[in-house]
Amino acid sequence: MDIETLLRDSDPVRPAHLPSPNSSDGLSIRSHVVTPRRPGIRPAAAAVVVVAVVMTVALVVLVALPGESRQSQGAAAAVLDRMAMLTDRQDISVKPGEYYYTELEGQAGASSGPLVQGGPTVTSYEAETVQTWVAPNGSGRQVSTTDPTPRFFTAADRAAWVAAGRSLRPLFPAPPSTVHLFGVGYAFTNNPIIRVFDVSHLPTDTAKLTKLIAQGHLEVKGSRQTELKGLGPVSNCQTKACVIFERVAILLQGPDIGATPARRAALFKVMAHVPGVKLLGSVVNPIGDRGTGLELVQHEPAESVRCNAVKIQEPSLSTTEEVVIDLKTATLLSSETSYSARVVTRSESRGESGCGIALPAGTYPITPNWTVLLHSGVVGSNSRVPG
Amino acid sequence: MAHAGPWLPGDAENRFDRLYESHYQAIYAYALRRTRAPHEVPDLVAEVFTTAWRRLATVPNPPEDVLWLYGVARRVVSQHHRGRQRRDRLDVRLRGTATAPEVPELASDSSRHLGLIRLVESLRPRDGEVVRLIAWEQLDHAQVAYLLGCSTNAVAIRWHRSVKFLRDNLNDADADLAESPEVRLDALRIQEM
Repeated sequence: MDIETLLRDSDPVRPAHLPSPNSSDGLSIRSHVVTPRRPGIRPAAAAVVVVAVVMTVALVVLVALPGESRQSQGAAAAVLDRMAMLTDRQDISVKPGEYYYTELEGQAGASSGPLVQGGPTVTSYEAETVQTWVAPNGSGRQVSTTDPTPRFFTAADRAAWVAAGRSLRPLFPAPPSTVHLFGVGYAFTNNPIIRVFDVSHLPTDTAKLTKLIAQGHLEVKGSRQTELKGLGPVSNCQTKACVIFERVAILLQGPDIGATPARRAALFKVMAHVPGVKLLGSVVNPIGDRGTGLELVQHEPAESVRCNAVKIQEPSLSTTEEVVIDLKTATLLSSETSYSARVVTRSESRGESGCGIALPAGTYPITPNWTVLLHSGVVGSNSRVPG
Repeated sequence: MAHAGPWLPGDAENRFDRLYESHYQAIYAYALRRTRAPHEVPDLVAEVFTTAWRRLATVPNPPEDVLWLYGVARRVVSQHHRGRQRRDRLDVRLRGTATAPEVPELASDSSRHLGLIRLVESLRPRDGEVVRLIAWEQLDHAQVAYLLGCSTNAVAIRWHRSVKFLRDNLNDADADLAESPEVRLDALRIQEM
């Protein structure tokens, strides 16, 4: 089959399954659209207001942070400095003919919605394991395997799933693993969930590295470096501290190209200087591995915006970025981002994007994202895994 | 491009209805192909047609009207990706509880198709958009050029470059595990030169 036919056949949308304009959705949208024009701030203008408020808040938070939780932050910094020392002594160099192997598990295909009419929203996801072998020159191999067994972020989600009569067995036949071989500079075509980053050009000077990471200028000319995004599908960070913490976590987690003990040590030092990082002590990550937890919490206050002439009270948000590290091996065992939203006042939903939260006041958890390191180490071929 | 002439106020709804009925599914499919949150597609579609309703006087006559709608949809989807971080974080738990419109499932026929979709996502944004518009929206090069504001030649170059990339890399992704990886890596290195 030629590529153009295959491309057409790969259309992720089946036209036969599309709702017609006379479906309930179609009629609903039509009736919503064709209404008398009303004055007020349009969604785009509302978005500008939101961005302006968020930026102001971010600035205030940045200025305020240095004075907060100095004691806890001191402990976190001490742990991270120790990690930097340990990393500096490790030998993770990859010789010609060897590969650095990283096996990570993340979420794929998360879906959310009520399972029964009027029921609670249930979020389920499938796990994806990504095995990456990277040679010293940056070429490598990546194998992505999806487990179609439904998984849940919370026990309540699982219970609601079962109560709705849904099976806990695989949702669909396990697809074959996706195998990807990449040449030098071509790691950019890899898995969109877990990306390979080229860190070979990063400085080891803490101040310079902090500046680069904060600016997000990690691209390498000609290497088609992938964009450094958040721990989840989108970055939730609004503050500089959060951005740096999250990006360092991604870079420490790997898979990466060109990592050296000195570069990893520098990354830990950068994290040690991030204001607001707290030491959690001994914690267990999502797959049950015990390690030392560090977290950074970003608060975004509730906001009032106007949308279609209706005053809307957006909820306040708390975003928690957490990493679990192993003090013995100086490795980052997992990273996680989770949120909770506090609805201050119920706002009438207008059905249009961004207009209101039709929920009573209260605190609501938001789906987290996590990535867990399953295995890593130097191996002798691009099909072997560490013993 | 021929814009619609003046119309009587009473005609507006009729004209909008024709536009809506003719292109609702095309715009729905466009949005569905470009978002990872299918439950938000009805909102995006509503936003596109809200713009069309408000700016009905500037909507061109068929057959260019659908291109105009694609242009609006492109901006709406782009804004959705850029500016919706906060709402993205809230939608799943909060808004999802309030309204959960029925949305069609995305097709996922085979790993080969999924692999190809993944490769399309890995293209440069503009190249990927050219591929999607030609392969999935089934627009011709001139229509894509109009929509993206570039020359037909530029579209043709992007299309052929992208198809070559997809062909080369899809073969690679399909590689039999038993085949020597080193041989395939060498092939990739040659392509770089």
